[in-house]
Amino acid sequence: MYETEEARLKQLKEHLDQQSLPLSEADQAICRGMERACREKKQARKRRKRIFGSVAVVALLLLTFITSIRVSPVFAQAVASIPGLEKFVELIAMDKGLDAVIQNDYYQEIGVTQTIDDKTLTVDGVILDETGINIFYTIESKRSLKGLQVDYINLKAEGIPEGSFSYGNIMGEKEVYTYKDRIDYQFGELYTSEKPSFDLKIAIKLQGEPTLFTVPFTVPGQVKPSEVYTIDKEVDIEGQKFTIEKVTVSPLRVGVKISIDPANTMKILQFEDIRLEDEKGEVWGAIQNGTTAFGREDGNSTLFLQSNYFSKPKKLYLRINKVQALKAEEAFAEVNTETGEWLNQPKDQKIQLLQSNKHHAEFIMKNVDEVEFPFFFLGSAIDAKGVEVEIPTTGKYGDEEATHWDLNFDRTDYTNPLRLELFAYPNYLEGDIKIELK
Amino acid sequence: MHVRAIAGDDEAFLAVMQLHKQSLLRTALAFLRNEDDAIEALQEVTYRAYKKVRTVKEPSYLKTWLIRIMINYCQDQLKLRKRYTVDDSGLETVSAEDISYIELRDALATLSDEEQRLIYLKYFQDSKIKDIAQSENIPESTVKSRLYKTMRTLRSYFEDKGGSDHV
Repeated sequence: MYETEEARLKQLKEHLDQQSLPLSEADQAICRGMERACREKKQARKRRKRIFGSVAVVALLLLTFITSIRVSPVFAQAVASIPGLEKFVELIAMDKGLDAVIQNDYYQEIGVTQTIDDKTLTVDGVILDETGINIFYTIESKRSLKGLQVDYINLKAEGIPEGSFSYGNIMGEKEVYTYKDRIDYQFGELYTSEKPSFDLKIAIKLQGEPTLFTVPFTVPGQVKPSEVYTIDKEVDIEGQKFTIEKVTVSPLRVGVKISIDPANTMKILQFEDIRLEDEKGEVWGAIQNGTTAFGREDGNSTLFLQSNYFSKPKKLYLRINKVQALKAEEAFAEVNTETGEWLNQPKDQKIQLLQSNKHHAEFIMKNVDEVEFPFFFLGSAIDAKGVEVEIPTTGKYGDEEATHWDLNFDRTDYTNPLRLELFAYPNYLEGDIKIELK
Repeated sequence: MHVRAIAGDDEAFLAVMQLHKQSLLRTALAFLRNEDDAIEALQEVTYRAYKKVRTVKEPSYLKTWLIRIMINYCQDQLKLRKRYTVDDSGLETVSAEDISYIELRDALATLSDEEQRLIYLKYFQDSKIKDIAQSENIPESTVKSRLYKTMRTLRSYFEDKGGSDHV
């Protein structure tokens, strides 16, 4: 069809191929280029290793680490008026709901301690509502607590429903004599008790030496009841339907129960910008530090937002403008960890497999505009025989170019390929959903 | 060897660069038309490739991937050049054959960056459609249809110039 043009191109190619090449200069150029890259890589590697080390720990402890914390003067004043609370400011300042809890005197001092050898654990105070309990505690010692590790935490109370924990604080490189943390225990369902008594066990390890603290305490104050808005409204975003069933507003958090239409052609992954907005445009967004959602296999899930319990606005709206979604057939990755081969993945191939073997896989996603994709994108892994392969440790780290995810599998006797459910992916549906709660 | 380069092995990377240096130099010369610039381009591309080499998914696409980095670099350089210098190539005395090449190169220069890459990879590097598809991250059918469309653009370029082509 385009023979003339093709012939002209071929002629030009042959002409170019006849040009002599400065080959020895080329070798020098390659060496110079490599030297420069090696130098920078060495520096970058040092930097990245450090970041990875700390971020991996954060991931394990389900904690978001934020280095700089801004506190409003009103909040700072409220904190200062409660003895012993000021040391926890950085652990609560990222959540507007907790901020309001403190300002409205809903934080309760406990002050129960246990001393074992040279270490003393104090439960300073708690915030308890029907959705969960936040426990603020401190460990102090005359010996340095550098390198302290919290091995496990257990909380018991009569009739307490199963739930999810998030805890853990970052220890710096410095010698420290005080370790403080917030345990966020979230009940699987609403829980109230006449006179709530808890039994808290905290196992720690310091320089290989284990200590088990057991601290019983009772929460004296009344638990504030949650406000429930029953909505039952079906909405859609680019044709994909879901129902907002109810919104439960409690002091610690707001739960939004959503069920997704099983007939959807796309799988809805994350509701990135779901938020509450009042008549003045003030916004309460997703939980930054703690459990962000409870999900269930049947497509029902409850998302948690920062609480506006104490703000009592005239009008309140639930708003969603974009959701992550993938076509159902693209919403999982299938990969052979031995050959590094992809058998299925989203068509745009934003995620790449960098290296893998039966123990370990490293995925990478290029950053868009130098912004890292903030989610862990993989849920569970199922092998070719349908048996789940647990991924006990995952790490996420990034550099200026890309976001990396490191997965470590708990066993190697599985059969490839592995099917990995994607539960976050940078592919968006957009719309404007605004539901009036009151 | 390519597999080792992806794992970040310095020696293997050097070997890969040696293997493809002629293709890379020819690419640089085709775009930049100047030896000194081509050498500088090779150094820069070595640097960029070494930094990114762990991100290549398929070893067999390494050549196309390297050429692609080179083309991107050259296209950026040409844009900078356009901003700061005047092309004085018209002042040289040239043969009739050269005029044909210059015309073709001028025609190619009117294409978009992506079209230039596709044409270059297909006709100058004899890359396979499959490799181009991988390197551009688009389906093979799209590579084919874009190439086809680009050839049509080239033809209409020459047709518009009409009589002046054949004096």
